[in-house]
Amino acid sequence: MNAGRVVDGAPCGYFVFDDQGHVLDVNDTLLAWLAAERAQVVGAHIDLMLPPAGRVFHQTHFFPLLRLNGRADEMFIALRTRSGQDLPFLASAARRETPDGARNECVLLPMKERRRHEAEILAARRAADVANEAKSRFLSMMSHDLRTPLQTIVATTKALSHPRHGPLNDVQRSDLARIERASGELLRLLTDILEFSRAGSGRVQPNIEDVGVDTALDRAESLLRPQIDEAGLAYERHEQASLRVRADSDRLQQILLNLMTNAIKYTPRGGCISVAAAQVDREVLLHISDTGPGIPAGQLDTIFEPFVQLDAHGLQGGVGLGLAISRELARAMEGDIVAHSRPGDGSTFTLALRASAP
Amino acid sequence: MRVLIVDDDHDAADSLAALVRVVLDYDVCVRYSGESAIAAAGDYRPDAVVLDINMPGVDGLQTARILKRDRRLARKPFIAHTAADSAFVRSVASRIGFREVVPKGGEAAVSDLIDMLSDIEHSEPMEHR
Repeated sequence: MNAGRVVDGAPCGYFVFDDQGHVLDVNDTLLAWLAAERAQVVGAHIDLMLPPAGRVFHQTHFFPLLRLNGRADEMFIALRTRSGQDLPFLASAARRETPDGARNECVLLPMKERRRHEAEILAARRAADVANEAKSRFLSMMSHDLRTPLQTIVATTKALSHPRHGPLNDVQRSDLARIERASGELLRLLTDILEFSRAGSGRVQPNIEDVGVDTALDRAESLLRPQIDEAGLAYERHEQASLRVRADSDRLQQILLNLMTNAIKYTPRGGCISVAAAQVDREVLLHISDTGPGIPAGQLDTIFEPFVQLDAHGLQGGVGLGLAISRELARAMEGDIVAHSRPGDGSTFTLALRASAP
Repeated sequence: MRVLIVDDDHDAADSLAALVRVVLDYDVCVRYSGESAIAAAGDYRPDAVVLDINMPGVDGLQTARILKRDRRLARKPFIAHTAADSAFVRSVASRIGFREVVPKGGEAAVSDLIDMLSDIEHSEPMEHR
């Protein structure tokens, strides 16, 4: 055909076919890629350039799309070279009516490199998933295996503390109390780690049902009332009547206890913890606010990462898994948790859950 | 009141036994495997059995199945005491006829176990030999 056309030297493949699938034109670049002569391609049916699976795709997707919309963008197609090798391409085509009939003009970019990158990324992600799963299994096994010796420590300490075991002097009593406190702390850490490894591995299967928000808040309040009073805090509740959410009631309880315990932990004496609940569209939002020191903007996201704790105030306890677990649990129930805060102005953690159907 | 405690971890078994003796003043028989528990149970005739679940050889679930074939033990309360406190273990344990599953570790778990045994003494008709 017209020698010396710009399209022949272009760094992309180009060909034109009619509505019957006959090739009307092809550029030199594509001919070189296919190792074919112009005479072998022009006038032939497009099927000759396609591997068998590609023919089906062409008939059922590419062609109909072109006819319907007049264009087809960024489709993946494979073309078969004369030597029988399949090459991957990204194809975009546009259909043009001319006095001689329809012309479907198609531009092709090779995707060999890109496919290789994609394969590498997929392999890397699979490797990361496997490593993550192994980590979860290790954490879960470890926290299981540590329970038996912990059990021995606790039982023995308890036996030693019992009056029937014989009288203790004050030093022995306070030594035993220290062992008891440390083993209590150890158990809490183990439970957190076990819970987190479960949540992280997607093994938490929540038992979703309709849960009354007032019932859930009553339950949390009755459990935490002693801590709130002991910390010298006020407690307020504002909620719309008869709110119901789709949730696993035990998991919801776990989240509420975690958020409220945090609020208690970070709020100085004389402060206030408030809980508010309202429905917004199809979601129920539960806000747990405190009058504590607040969270610096830079830490609002990282506090949900495992093993991160606010470093201020020298307050501690736990390995910083509480919020990570709570967020995983919320997400397992198709909800989420976000934090808002301004330093000096307290913090609000908002738990969003799906509202029950009315 | 006689309690049979079975755990392949000797320290766990012995410490629990010591606690039950000192706090509740019960008679306790300790065995460190399912096999030896099965061998001892017929003569010992426990009023309650506390079984670890993960044990090499005959595990706690299998031990309970075998012990419960003995008519004199079939109606006695069995308590599973395990670090592997999963929903699966709970469902199997309840099918076999365990009365309770108590997770290992922690003050609360130990206190629960003691309370359970003490409740059993006050609610079950004791056999008199």
